[in-house]
Order: sequence, then C-alpha cells, then structure tokens
Amino acid sequence: MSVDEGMASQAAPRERSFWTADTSVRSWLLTRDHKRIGILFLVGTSLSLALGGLFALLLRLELLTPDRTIMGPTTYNKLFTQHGVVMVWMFMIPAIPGIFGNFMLPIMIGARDVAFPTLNLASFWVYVLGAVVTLTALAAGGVDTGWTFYVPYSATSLSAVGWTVTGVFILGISTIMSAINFIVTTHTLRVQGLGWMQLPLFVWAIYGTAIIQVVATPVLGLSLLLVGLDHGFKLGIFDPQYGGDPIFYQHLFWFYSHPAVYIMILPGFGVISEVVSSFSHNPPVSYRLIVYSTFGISFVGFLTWGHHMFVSGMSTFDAGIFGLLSMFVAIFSAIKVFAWTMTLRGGAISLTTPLLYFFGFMFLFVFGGMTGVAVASESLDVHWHDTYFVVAHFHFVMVGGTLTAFLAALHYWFPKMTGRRYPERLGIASSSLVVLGFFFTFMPQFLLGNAGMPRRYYSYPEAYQWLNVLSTGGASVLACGLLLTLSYLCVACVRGAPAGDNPWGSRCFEWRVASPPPKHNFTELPDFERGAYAYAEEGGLP
Amino acid sequence: MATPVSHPVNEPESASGRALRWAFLALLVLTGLSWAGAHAPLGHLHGLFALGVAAIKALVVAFVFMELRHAGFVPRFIALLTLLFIGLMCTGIVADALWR
Amino acid sequence: MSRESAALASQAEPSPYAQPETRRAALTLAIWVFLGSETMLFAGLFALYTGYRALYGADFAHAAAFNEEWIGSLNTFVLISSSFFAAWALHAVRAGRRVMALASLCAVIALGLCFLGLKSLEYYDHLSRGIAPGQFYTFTRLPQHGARLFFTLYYFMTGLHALHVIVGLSIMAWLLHRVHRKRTTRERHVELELGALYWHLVDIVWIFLWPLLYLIR
Repeated sequence: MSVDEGMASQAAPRERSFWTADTSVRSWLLTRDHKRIGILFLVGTSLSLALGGLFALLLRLELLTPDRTIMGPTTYNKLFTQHGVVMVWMFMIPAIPGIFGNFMLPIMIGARDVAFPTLNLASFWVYVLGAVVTLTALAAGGVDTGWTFYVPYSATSLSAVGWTVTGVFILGISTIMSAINFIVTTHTLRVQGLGWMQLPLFVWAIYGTAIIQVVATPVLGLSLLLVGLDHGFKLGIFDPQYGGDPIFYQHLFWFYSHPAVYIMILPGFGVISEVVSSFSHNPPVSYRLIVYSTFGISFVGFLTWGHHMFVSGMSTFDAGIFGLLSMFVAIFSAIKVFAWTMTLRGGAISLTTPLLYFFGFMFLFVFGGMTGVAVASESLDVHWHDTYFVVAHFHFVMVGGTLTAFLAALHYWFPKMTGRRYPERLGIASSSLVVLGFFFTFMPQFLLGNAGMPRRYYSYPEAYQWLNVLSTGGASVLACGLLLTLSYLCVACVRGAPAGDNPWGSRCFEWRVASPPPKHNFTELPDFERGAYAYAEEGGLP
Repeated sequence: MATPVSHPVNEPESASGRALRWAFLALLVLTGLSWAGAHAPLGHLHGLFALGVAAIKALVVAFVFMELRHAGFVPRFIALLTLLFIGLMCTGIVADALWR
Repeated sequence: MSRESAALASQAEPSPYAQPETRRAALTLAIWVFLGSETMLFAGLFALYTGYRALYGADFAHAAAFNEEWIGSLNTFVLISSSFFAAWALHAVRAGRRVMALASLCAVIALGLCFLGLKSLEYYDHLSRGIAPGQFYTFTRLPQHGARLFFTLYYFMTGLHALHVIVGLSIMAWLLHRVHRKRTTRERHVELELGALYWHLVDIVWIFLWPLLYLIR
C-alpha cells in the first residue's frame, strides 16, 4: 500500500465519490461537474472512435481486392471522407482535452472546477449537436469530397456537403468554448503558491493546445462557411468562373489544419510526459525544455501550412519558404522525444500497460515524425503527395502518436477515475495487439505510396494487392486489440480490484486526492508544496 | 468553498471622461484625414496611407476605449498575437499570388 | 461525515470564484480570448482580400469607385460615435450616473441602427444595379473577374460584420435593460465592460473595412 493510501485511510471518513453523489439521469446530463463532463466526453468520443474505426475497416475490406470487393466507388469516396471527418473532429481533437483535460486539469491545479462550469457543460452539448448534424450527412447520402473539402469539387459535388460543413462548424464552436475555459482556468484558478513553472506538464500541454484552438479554429469556421455558401448558392469566392482562386481555399483551410494536427498531438505529448515520469519514478530530465518546446510547436506550427500545397499550383517561391519553415517545427518534437527518453534513465521502471503504450508511442511517433520531415521536403513531396506515403505518415503520428497516448491516458488514469484496477495482463496483451496491428496496417502503406499507389483511389493495379492485404490484416489485429481494450475496461469499471488513491506511486497532484474523487474534488486541500515530480526527495519507490 | 488562488487581482484603472472625449475627437480628425488622403494625389502611397491611418485609429480605440492602456500583459499579448497572425496569413497568400 | 464535507454536499454547485473581483478578472480574460478568436474569424477574409488584391490590382480600385463614398464615410462616423458612447456609458455607470448611462446606451443603439439602415440602403442600391455576389453579379459596366470578386468579398466582409453589429446591438439592448432595472450598477457592472469591449471590436473591424472597400484608388 502506498504512503498516500495509508494516510488516506486514517483521515476523516470519505465523501461519496462524484459517481454516486447524485444518481439521477438529469444530474448527469445537466452536470456542471468537470469530472462528469469528462465522462460524458469519454462516451461521446469513444462512440466516434468506434464509428470512424468501422468506416476504416470497411475501407480496408474494400481494398482487399484490386477492383470491387464490397462496395461501389461512390460509396468508397463517401466512406473515406466520413472516416476522416469523424476521426479528426469527433475524436482526435476533442478526446484527450475533453476527457482528461476536463477531468484532471482542475484537480492538478488545486481547483474545485473549471472557471466556467456552465460553459463547460454547454461545450459538451454543442459537441453533441455538431456530431449529430455531421452524421445527418450520412443519412442525407454521405459526402464524398475528402475531409479536406477542396474546391472546386466541394462546391459542385451533389453530396451532402452543406450538412457536413455545418456540423463541423458547430464542432469548432465547441472546441473554442472548451479552449477559453481551459485558458482562463489555468490563469486564474491555480491554488495559492502554485506558480506556472510548478504546473504538471499535462496542464501546460492542454493550455498550449487551447491557445492554438482559439487562434486557428475560427479560420476553419470561415473556410467552411465560404465553402458551404459556394456549394449552396454559388457565391463563387473560390470559383474561377467568377474570378475566384481555388488555391486560396487551400491557404485558408491549411492555415487551420496544420495547427490542427498540433491540436491533436500536443495533449498526447502531455499524457506522455506524465506517464514517463510516473512509471520511471523520475522527474522529467528538463521540465523547462518540455514547456518551451510546447510553445515552440504551438507557434512554429502556424508558419508551415503551405507544405500541404506543394503541388497545388502555388508559387514555387512560397512553396520554398514553407518547406524551409517546416523543417523547424520538427526540432521541438525531437527535443521532447530526447527529453522523454532521458527521463527514463536511472529510474525505477514499472512495466505496465501505460508504459508499454509509451514505448509504442516513441517508436511509432518518431517514425511518423521523421517521415513528416521527409514529406515536408518539397522535392520529395512532389513524388509522395497524394499517395499512400502521406496517408501512412499521418496515421503514424495520429494513430501511432495520439491514439496510443489516448490509450496510455485511459489506462494511466483509469484507477483515478474509477477507483479500480484494470487487469494488467490483458492490458499488456491488448497494447501489443494494438501496436503490432497498427504497424502492419500502415507500414505497408509507406511501401505502397513509395511505389506510386495514389490515395483515395478505389481500384488499383494487381501488383499492389499483397501489400493491401497485409494492411487489411494489420487493421483487423488493431481492431481486435481495441475491442479487447474496450471489453476489459468496461468490465473493470464494475468488477475491477480496488485501486487505492495512488496505485502507481506517482507524485503528480491528481494522485493526492481520492480515487475516484468526491464531487468537489477534495475535502481538504491536498499538499501542493511538494512538487509534481518530487521523486528524488523520497528516495525511489514508495 | 472556492480555493485560495495565485492569480493577482488588483482594482483596475479606467479611462477618464477627459481621455474618452479627446480620443473621440482624435478619431474624428483621423477619419477626416483618411477621407482627405483618398482625394489627395498620393499615387502609389494611397493604400499605405489609408491603412496607416486606420491602424492609428484602431490603436486609439483599443488603448483608450477598450482600456488596453490599463490592462495587464495578457490582453495586450492577445492583441499583438492576433495582429501577427493576420500578417502571417496575408503574407503567405500574397507570396503565392504575386509570384506565381 | 465531517462538518465541512456535509456543508459541501449540501451546496448546489461549486462556485470557482469566491470574490466578485476574481470573477471579474476571469470574465475579462475570457472576453479578451474570445475577442482574439473573433478577430481571427475576420482575419481569413482580410487575407483573402489581400491575396485577391495582389491578383487583380487595378480592377479592385475600379470596382471600389462604385461603392458610395458618402455612405461608407458616414457609416464610419456613425460607428465611431457609437463606440464612443459605449465607452461613455461605462464611464457613467462607474461614476454612478445612471441617467447618463441610459442616455449613452440609447445613443449606442440608435447609432448602431443607423449604421444598419445605411448598410441596407447601400445593399439595396447595389442589388438593384446588378452588383451581387458570385453567380448573381450582372453589373455590365464592370464585367471583369476582378470587379466581380471585389464585390463578392465586399458582401462577405460587410455581411459578416453586419451580423456582428446585430449581435452587438442585441447585447447593448440587454445592457440597457439591465441598467434601467438597476441590475448593472456602479458596484456590479462587469457585463457592461464585456459588452462594450465586444462593441469596440466591431468598430475596429469597420475601421479597417472602410479604407479597404471604399477608399482605394
């Protein structure tokens, strides 16, 4: 039993946990408790992940054979579009901040809730509204423009473009609401004596992400508004027939969408920082480096959007500048990777599921990141653009990076959120399935892309089949791993062994409150004098 | 109920009535200046002049009416940051348009 | 159950901010962040304008000549005055001068409505001449792409701005009601501060729209 657990059992009898403080349906759906809102986001984003995953599996099934397997080409186009839209805006962007940002951030700074609890609740319901509207597009026949909605096709396609852009616009509003809340919370609700440079790294990650969200998302809103109006009313701001320039749409879209990828990965970085320290029982090798590199990414990430447009027809001068700037942004991620690796050194390693996901993350993210630097090089991208090479690159960083970090977070904070333990052996098994399955899904796609197979193509030459079959096989293994994870986590919610307040022996602040926390996070304010990474002081494992 | 917090909160200063009136006058004069500049033979400098005056007017509204003069670091940083990003977006698009 | 936890359990919802000053500081920070995001919304349109201007050059100036200068200039005067009265209303509330605050807020709203009225006049005038966005443009005096696109941009930029004016006026009307009912007072007026800030941003956006759409030569 950890030191913290021992002390807790001698303290005053506990309050009821936030789960049982009020059990009516209304108390959940109209809750202002950031922890419950986190759980609501968990349900919403998990359903989105499942839906996006289902679309992916269907796509991979279709790609088992060079020609038609189970669907026609239009359905295929709609599926890959819907897969992208659902994954990006209904899972990747809201998941880690919405679930773990909401649940952990206030506790990590010693607050009872976020700055604006009602705004927080509203951000969830706006998310639901946006998701419903986006999915209505499915009922309306689906959209087939690709998740990037490039003009001129998105302005002329007969598919449900209007529904989809409206839904995503609404999802963007939800994002901005959450982001404002996190920024104000971090600025104004830090407990007395807790300075900025004493905050857990996860808080910095959520804060840095929130800044990007507030700055970038409105530009997405505008792009979608313009495309929607172009599609609905031929107002022609991007239509050459009326004097418009389609490449300008891409400028506007990618000005948001490149920082968006940092919105998707930065919270994952925050999780990784927490996991690596907690499971090596070491402080981060350089706290400041990780904080500064977070802002390096946030800022420099805005300077690079043109690298998505190398072959669009924009000026080679502009393309050259963007290629150069794109090289810089990788430096900050590299700094983090080295810092995390060095943090392990000399630590007391607990080989558990979160740490296994950490190792998976390191391998897959570094691989993905390096291929990112490769495609950011204009001369190389000319060959790889719009091939499976790019698809593999971004799946390595998004799935191999963000999803892996999400799974690490799920397991790391499972005891805190539920007060129970998940079965460790099943965790190890499923994380192996996930990482291996992922690798065999997307590694072949690098080879396919390099060999010239374009992305978003319904049919392909027979020579590419074996790699496609391998990829689909990998996807099945990945799916099994994820389903297994879902199963044992659900079961562990009700039948897992009691975890105690701090089963991992972590020093971070959230582990100093009860697991699960009571409705108002703590009865007495925990000690914030001792730092979030004060491992050395206690001389190793508790 | 609420926990004691680190965030410094002091009684905010505000714009005086006098400052507001002078700022209003300045804005009217600057508006007249914009109009005059549009009718003057400035040649290629028209755009620069007009935007320059607009920038000054915006600064007056921001610093006096919006009390950015008395605000802390964060609101000023936000204002600066958004300006920088507008500049960034414009630069990126123009560098494309002009040198195709 | 300890006394404190019992007290906690009986509380309806947690109040993150104990004192009004901390709540005010948080709300002020929130509105500035929100205003930053609103500015970024317009930023995209300004960027498009800059890009298209680089492409079309002189066509933009030819097109701008057909925007009535007197309406644009009058609207600028109207909105700047409206912004002044919003600041003045806040000043009056802080000084405890309720009647002056009410009068100022009435001026804000009247001037704002005047702006919308002039805008409507302008739109009507344009539309009746065939100056409309995108596919609806039928202005034969300036058939070129650059002119058509200028006006498409004009409608988008002033349209989005007008939407914000409408939202701002609704907020001002609500604030007028609050001052009238003495819910916004010398001691408690954070909503007026926030609403005024929003209105000033609406003014700043127009300060830039005016030269870009009316004064170019």
